[in-house]
Amino acid sequence: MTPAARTAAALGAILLWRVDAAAHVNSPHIYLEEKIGPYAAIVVAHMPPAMPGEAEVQVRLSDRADDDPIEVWAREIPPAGDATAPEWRRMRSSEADPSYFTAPIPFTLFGLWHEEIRVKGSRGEGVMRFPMPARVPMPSTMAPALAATLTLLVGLLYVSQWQLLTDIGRDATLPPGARPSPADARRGRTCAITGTTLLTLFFALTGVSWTLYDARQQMLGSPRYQAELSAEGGPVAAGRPATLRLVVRDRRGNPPQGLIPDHGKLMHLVITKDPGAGFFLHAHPRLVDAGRFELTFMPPEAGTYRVFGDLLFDTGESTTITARIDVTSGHALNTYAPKLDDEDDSWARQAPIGTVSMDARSAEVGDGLSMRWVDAPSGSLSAETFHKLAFELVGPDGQPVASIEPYMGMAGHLLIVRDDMGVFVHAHPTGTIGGRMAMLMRQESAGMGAMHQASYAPRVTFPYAFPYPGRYRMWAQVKYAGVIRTGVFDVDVR
Amino acid sequence: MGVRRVPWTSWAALAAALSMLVGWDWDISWHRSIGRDTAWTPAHVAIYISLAIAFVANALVVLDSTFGRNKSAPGVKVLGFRGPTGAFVTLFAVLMQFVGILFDVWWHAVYGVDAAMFTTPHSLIALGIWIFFLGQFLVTAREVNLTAPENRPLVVVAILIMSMFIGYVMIGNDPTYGPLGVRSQAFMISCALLVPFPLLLIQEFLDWKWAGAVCAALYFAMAFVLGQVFQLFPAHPRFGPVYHRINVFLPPAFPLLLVVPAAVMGWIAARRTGRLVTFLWLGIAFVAVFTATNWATSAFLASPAARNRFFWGHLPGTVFMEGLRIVPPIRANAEGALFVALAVAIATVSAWSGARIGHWMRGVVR
Repeated sequence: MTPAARTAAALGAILLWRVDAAAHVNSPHIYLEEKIGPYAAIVVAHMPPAMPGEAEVQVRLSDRADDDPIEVWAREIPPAGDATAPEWRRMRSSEADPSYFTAPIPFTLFGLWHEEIRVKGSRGEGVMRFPMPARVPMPSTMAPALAATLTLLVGLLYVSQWQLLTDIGRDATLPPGARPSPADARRGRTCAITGTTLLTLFFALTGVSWTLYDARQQMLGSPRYQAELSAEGGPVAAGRPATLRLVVRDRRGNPPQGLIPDHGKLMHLVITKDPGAGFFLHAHPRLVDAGRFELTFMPPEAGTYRVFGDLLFDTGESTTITARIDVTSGHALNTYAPKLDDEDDSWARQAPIGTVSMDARSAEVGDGLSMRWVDAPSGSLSAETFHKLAFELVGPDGQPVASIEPYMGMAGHLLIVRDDMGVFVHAHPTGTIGGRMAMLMRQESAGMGAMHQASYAPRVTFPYAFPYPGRYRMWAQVKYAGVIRTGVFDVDVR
Repeated sequence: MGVRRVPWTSWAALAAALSMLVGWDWDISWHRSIGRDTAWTPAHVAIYISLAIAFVANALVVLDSTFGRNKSAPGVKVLGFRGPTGAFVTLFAVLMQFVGILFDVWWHAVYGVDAAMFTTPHSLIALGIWIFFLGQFLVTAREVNLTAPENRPLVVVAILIMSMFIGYVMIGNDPTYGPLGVRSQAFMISCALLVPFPLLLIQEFLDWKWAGAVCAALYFAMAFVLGQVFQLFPAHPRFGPVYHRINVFLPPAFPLLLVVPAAVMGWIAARRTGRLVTFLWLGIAFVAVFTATNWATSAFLASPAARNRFFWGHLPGTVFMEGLRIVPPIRANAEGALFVALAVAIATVSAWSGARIGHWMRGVVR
């Protein structure tokens, strides 16, 4: 192997080197259904695949009259605040659908950004604002074809510089017709060796700077908070209540600052069985100390369980911490009837994903009631396509019930996991932004008071798009006759 | 003797060098004033035009020398092709930039849009451009050597290309550090590496002691004109955070008074030609005069007297940063002394290799 070929191979190895991106379980995009001034709007924010990068915000005004000449503007508010925001930019309207507007939103740095949308039409005008945390997963692999092409091209650079310097070092100064002497040939070789050495030195230095840059980006892009889970009194056994302790810390080991309750709870926690998501617990652990939460958990059977905990900060930013529990076999249970810590806690059991039909669109929720997935597709759904996932509570007579009660301040909650536990989402009728935040946002946007309602219509819709293909399980939760009703639905997303 | 013709390959080299320099200055200004760009901004187009001119012109020359009418013209043989040395160097530089751009596209998909200037692919592109300017100069240098007696217009073209080369090297004078950034150790070291090389190259090639100073003066004039022109055009930031509401293109840093160290180096090199110790003197002279000149001019540029359109001292480095990047000046202690010694060593090698290659170029006839 010549020195040139060796170095090319080494560089090829650098090109193929990569690290796995840190785990992000939330779906990256934001879906909202809100009023902007007098207009009802569905807002979708597609976050960029890498940071810094460009998001796309889409606004659909669902109640715009055909002759209403509407203008929609957008601007992003950087983490440093309103004073540093760029000017309002007009959103582009679609030719096919004049009620549909899009705008690119560039993100230049990590942190908590806000997006503002301004609508102006004949019915009046209004502004809506929502948080957009710029912390997104980074793809960190190079396609093999590109890696091979680049390696080949770098090899070509080496070969051609060797040849070039050998030839011009030897011949460039020779008069026309003269033949190179051995001294000329030596000079050519010296030039080529010098060039190869300098080029290799250059690649080595840039390789080091690449490694450092990558490590910094990975750190910036990784989740800010980690959770450590332990159980009081040793391993968790099936059928026995255990006290779980969840300690949340930032990268420096400090407890999180500025936690605020999201629809009344400091943490919304979901525990589900892996694989298959056959068991589901939606619980609200107690805060016992800064960053330390506790809850009682009685696993129905042995195996691995995944834990997802949503936290909301006073900045409007939210984060999902993840953990895992390994449960040993313990008591055999005839009936599973766990004691729950909080009146808003709830659980559900269902056969694992894949062992039941993916097409069931109605679920029993107790007391003869059932929950229907309204307007559900018969087959699969498309990834990244916006859906209004609608669920309706139906009485024993087959008719929708008259009304449902608020469950933690809103009509319903929808929890979604993908069967490999790579995606976890806690969605609300207002969208994917936490309830308290959505409420604050609405107050800011519309100047309205608190949004608590005594009852809701039996049909609840959740604006959402599944981010990636895969098999998903959804738990749609509403409250009726004082009981939390959980409908379990599976869906194939392609 | 009369005015002699400048061959079309030299005109092409001059056009490509100019388009490359203006394109990069413009692109960097775009990033500091507007922020967001696409593959088809006018600044990028200027760079593509430069690459296209260089690639087409030199590929034509190589094809013609290998297969066409010019088969008997003197040239070097590389990978089975025949052609002038400068053409091959330029084509190699285009290939290197192409690899860098391909790598850069992937880089942005993984790490996001331009967040840092000195990334791995950018370094590869920067090295490619450096070789590119050298190649464009070589295209003309060979013509100068082949046309005796002296072809004055051709020499002027060579001097212009070299002053653009210096202009390109001076892109490293990053305005986000402010005028006082030129007092830093890092700036001294990087200039010690990059600046003596072209100054000594042109002086040795033309065997004229003021050649480096003339190129440095032309660089100053070009950068000054560009700075005035940039301020004529509107530019609105397209993303936040926006810390300065300036709605014109921010020009590059005010040019350095390189002409002073260049003149001193030219004078020393002419008096003590050839001996190795001369280069040590050149290294010392460069570091001393360059640093002293920068110290004085940066004091002026940072003062209220420069806060006007003429010296553009009132403009921020970028609208996207609140203040300037802070970088400590050369320290008057052991660490500072070590950096100065390192800079002298690097400047000595840079001057020596510039002179060596300039001397070699004087003999390039193929």
